[in-house]
Amino acid sequence: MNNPLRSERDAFRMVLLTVAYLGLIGIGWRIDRWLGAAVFVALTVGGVVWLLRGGSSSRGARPAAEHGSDELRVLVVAEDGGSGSELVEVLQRRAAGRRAVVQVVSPASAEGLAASLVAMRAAGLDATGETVEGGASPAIEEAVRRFGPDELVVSGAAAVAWLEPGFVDWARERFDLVVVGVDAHEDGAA
Amino acid sequence: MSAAAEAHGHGHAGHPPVPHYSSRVSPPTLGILLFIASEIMLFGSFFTVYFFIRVVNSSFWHGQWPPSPYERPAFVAGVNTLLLITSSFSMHWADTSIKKGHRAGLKAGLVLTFALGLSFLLIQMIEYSRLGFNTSDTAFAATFYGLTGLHAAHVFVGLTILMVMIVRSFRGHFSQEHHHGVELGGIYWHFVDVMWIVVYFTVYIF
Repeated sequence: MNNPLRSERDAFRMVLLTVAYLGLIGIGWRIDRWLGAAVFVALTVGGVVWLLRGGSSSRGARPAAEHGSDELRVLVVAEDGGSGSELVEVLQRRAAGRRAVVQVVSPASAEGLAASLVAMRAAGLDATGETVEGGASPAIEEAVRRFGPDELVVSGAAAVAWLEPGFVDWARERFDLVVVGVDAHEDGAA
Repeated sequence: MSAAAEAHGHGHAGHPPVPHYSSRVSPPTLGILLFIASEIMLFGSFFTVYFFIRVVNSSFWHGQWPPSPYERPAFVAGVNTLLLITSSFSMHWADTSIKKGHRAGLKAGLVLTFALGLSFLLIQMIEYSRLGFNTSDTAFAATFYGLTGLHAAHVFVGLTILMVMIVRSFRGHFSQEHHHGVELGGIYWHFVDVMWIVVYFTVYIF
């Protein structure tokens, strides 16, 4: 079971769910008290089962990537902004002749990220990126939801220490994606 | 490099290395979630008292709830519910706006949320003044004021947080990259909204 409340968006969704949940019970209650009780039991059991199965953010519940087989969408998690040449080589290798659409998320400065994006675009990658704040895991879950990648490339930098030890293993377990580690922390690298 | 930094394998000259966190949620978010968990327990104790009074005295009041001659102002409370639900939408608008870098949307969303929350509180105060019973009248009256009053106190705290967020937003404190303050305030405000929906259905409808 995953924590279903990790962000403002999740909290807002909780408001809507609460309105729907109690609203339906209330309507049932107004018609007949036993109907209200039945709706309460049905919705509660359904909700508990849904939560135990991991909710909407369950493994493999990423948005369907609407693109052909000639395009590869890669989400890059880069501690240092993705400046290493090895990362670019890995991305080119993963693309294997396909058009690579790359989204970089990084805690690095905007300047550092911009320089990395320039290097990736020079290598023929369709790269965009954004800096993120807070913990790595929620930032990446959010990015996976929004971007809908085919693969996840984790580029670690020991001097930054943003990613937690074992992050690559966690990502493999968490997402239904190909996860590749590049210079990641030793205990979590591929 | 200091001995401590070398021991950790990082070259952070002049400042300590960035700590690893055991949680998959960022520490400030985890903090607000734990705080909300404690608040849910507090509300839970008030709900326990409410249902205890209602069930234990059911035969005494001949199954009638609320006991005669009390009446619950369900319509006014329903209007208040709509106000608070709308305020959640405006809060969410403020949060999504700053995430996209739209500062005007952030300011408008926060001010609108504050106005809706303040309207809720004022209507609640007017409702109290016209109810015709007080906390010491019966157990029903005590639990009614206890639950709705506890929630009103949380709205007041939420409005205080919103005011701080509004002042900070007009001073340019939030940006597309740094908006954690809006995120956390939003989570708290949505919690206040969820609790009101539960209070509304429990106290005014069922």
